[in-house]
Amino acid sequence: MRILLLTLTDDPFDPAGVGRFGGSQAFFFDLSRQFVRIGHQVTIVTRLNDIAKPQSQSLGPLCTIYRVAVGPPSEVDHHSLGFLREDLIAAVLALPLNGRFDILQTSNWLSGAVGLALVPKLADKHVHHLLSLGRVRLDLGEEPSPHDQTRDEWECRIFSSADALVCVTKDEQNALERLYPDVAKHKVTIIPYGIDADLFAPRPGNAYDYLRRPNNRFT
Amino acid sequence: MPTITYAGRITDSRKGLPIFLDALELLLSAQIPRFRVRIVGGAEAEAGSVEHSIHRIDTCRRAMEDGRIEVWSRVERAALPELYSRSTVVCVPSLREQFGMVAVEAMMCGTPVVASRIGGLQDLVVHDITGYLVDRLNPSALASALAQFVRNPKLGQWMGRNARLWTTNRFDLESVTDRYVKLFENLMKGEQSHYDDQSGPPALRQRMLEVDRPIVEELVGDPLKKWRDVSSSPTPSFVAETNNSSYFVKLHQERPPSLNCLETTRFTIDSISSERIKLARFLSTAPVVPRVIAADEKTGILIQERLLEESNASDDEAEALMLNSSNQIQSIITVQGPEADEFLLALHRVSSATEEATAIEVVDQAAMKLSAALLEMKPRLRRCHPQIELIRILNYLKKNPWAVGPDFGARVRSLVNFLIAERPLVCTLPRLQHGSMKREHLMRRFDGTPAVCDLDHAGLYVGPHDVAHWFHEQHRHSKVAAPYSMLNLIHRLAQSEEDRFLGAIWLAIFPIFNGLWRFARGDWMTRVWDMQFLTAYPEAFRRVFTRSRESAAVR
Repeated sequence: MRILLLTLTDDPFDPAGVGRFGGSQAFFFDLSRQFVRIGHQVTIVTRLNDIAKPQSQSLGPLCTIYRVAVGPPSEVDHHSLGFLREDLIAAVLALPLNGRFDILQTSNWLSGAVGLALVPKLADKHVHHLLSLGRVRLDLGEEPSPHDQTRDEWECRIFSSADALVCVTKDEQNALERLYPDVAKHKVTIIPYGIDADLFAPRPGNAYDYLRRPNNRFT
Repeated sequence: MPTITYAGRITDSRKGLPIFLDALELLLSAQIPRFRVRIVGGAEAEAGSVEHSIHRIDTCRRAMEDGRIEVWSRVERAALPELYSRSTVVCVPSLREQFGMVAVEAMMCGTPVVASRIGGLQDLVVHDITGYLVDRLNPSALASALAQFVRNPKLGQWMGRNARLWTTNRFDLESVTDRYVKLFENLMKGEQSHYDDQSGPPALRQRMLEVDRPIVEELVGDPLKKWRDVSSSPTPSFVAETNNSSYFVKLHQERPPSLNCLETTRFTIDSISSERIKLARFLSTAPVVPRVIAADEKTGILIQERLLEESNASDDEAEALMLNSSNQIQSIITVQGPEADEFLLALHRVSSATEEATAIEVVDQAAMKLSAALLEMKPRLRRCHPQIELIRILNYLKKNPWAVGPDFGARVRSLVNFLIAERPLVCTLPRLQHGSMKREHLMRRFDGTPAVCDLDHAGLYVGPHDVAHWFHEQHRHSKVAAPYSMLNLIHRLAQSEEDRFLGAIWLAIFPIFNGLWRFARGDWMTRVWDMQFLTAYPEAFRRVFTRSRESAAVR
């Protein structure tokens, strides 16, 4: 399969645990690598958020990452980037992507909004990974932002057009169905974030047990 | 030393680090064993700003100077499993969380998690089994749940094993990627994918049986054809069928009893599950107790005869069955001998003890020795005398005033003081009782003879514990708490004036202890029923016992 992963607000190479970078970055990094391991071709597109990063990088024969230079090359509140949608679409279409993809996977509303314009030209199916929901934020009483309206409009369009919507937990699915009642339930599926089980396994308390650790086996 | 770890973004307020620091302030002032804290995440400058915040809190600053709070900046991902594996518990106090990678990573490393009851965390952490879900934005709730792991390392070990079992095959990258690929393939074929995940506790219980299945099959001597989850308590229980027969299978857990998590005690035992199996065997001499077919003390697997639910009995019939069962269990042993004399002596000594803690310990020790001698069990801390439990509750509230909601705490203190002042300590011997008598535990055999199940709490109790528990269970889910009616019911069934009084005390203890235990697990919502009960109880008690005294005087 040829998979285009559009993650415009989260560069999978950003360090989880610093600033606003969290586990989802780490997951998209791991997921892409796992797709490649089992023989799928993956192209990752994100937004350049640091001038020092390469704008394109081959990560082996089956994976390439592009960082499109749209907006300031620095970390900005990604919810404020809605006005860049047209520029982001143009920048992705200008990339040397070498033909159609089977799947366009988007994460976060901004990627989803850009993905809506790309699907007819670039991919057969659109899978949207929610990542977060604007109405949940407001439902929890967080401070409203001037970008809420734009985000909400785009989220509704994405949920209506995407071929599949991926929630990471039952709670997220419940929130989606409660706060966005128009969403077609048959499109919604739950797939949790996956974690590298070789890396995240109990470690012996004693450092001298080093050789018994599973990820140090030569298999 | 127990270690509490926070890992994640430290300057993102949604991650709840300020709530964690507030909880630490409470824990560092509490009377609990010494513990260590690691805060991991953020750039160096961010970590510096967290250190600055910690320095502003006196207790935290002292702990930091003492080397008991360490603030690290971000570490390499490969180092995280080392950190999680060396933690007693990992804390995820988020205010909003779509998923909660840290929680899953920690559980995959066999470390339990205390997390906010919010968003996706509610689907990741199995409350009470792989960790605790606590009220969001509530430092006291967070501190209460964390304190349990500091008090009792066995809790973390048990939950950690469950956490590992829960996350393996469920959150590992390979199976998650397979699900994505399946979704993509189905979409390309024009089909939809739908994954209906079984929710936490049933899925985890299922996994536990799958893991133990070879031992169960060896014990019954036949392969299992199918099984049905019939668990009504945290102990996984199944009705399992082979080609030839069906059995009741119970997977006893190494979960420390709740009392051992609320107070630090030296009276713990290595294996609670093997003791429960010994107890099941010991009790099975009573006709009403299920027959033990096979058991494995090492793993805690108990195979008993299969029983049927007793659903047709009227209320009166059920009550008669309960009394008959309780009496049968009581008649298994006669409480006498040197340990019984010692127990009475301990009670007499306590009547004059001025130190509450000493009083409790003296009786606890005597009760343990008595249980060990009569039931052939290893000595361990357990509830035995209701008036001693009142002192224990008061002591807990005195030591941990922050660990309960103030409204509940004030009511409990008032009621307990009232009951302590009501009568001097009753110096009488305990009797063997079921310990968790309720309607759901009444069963019958295939031949129609009565039986009673779930004897894990059986033991020596002073006063009519079973009767009080029976009525408490019947009323605890009603809309309105009615202690007057409940006390009258106990009054009707209790054999003596002393039993009426002791039964009344047990009746008060059940909701109080349930409340304390709920708060200790981070659920900070005070139940209206509890408050109604605690408020109406003294007046109900006076009415019932004054009337009783008056009628005795008339006679």
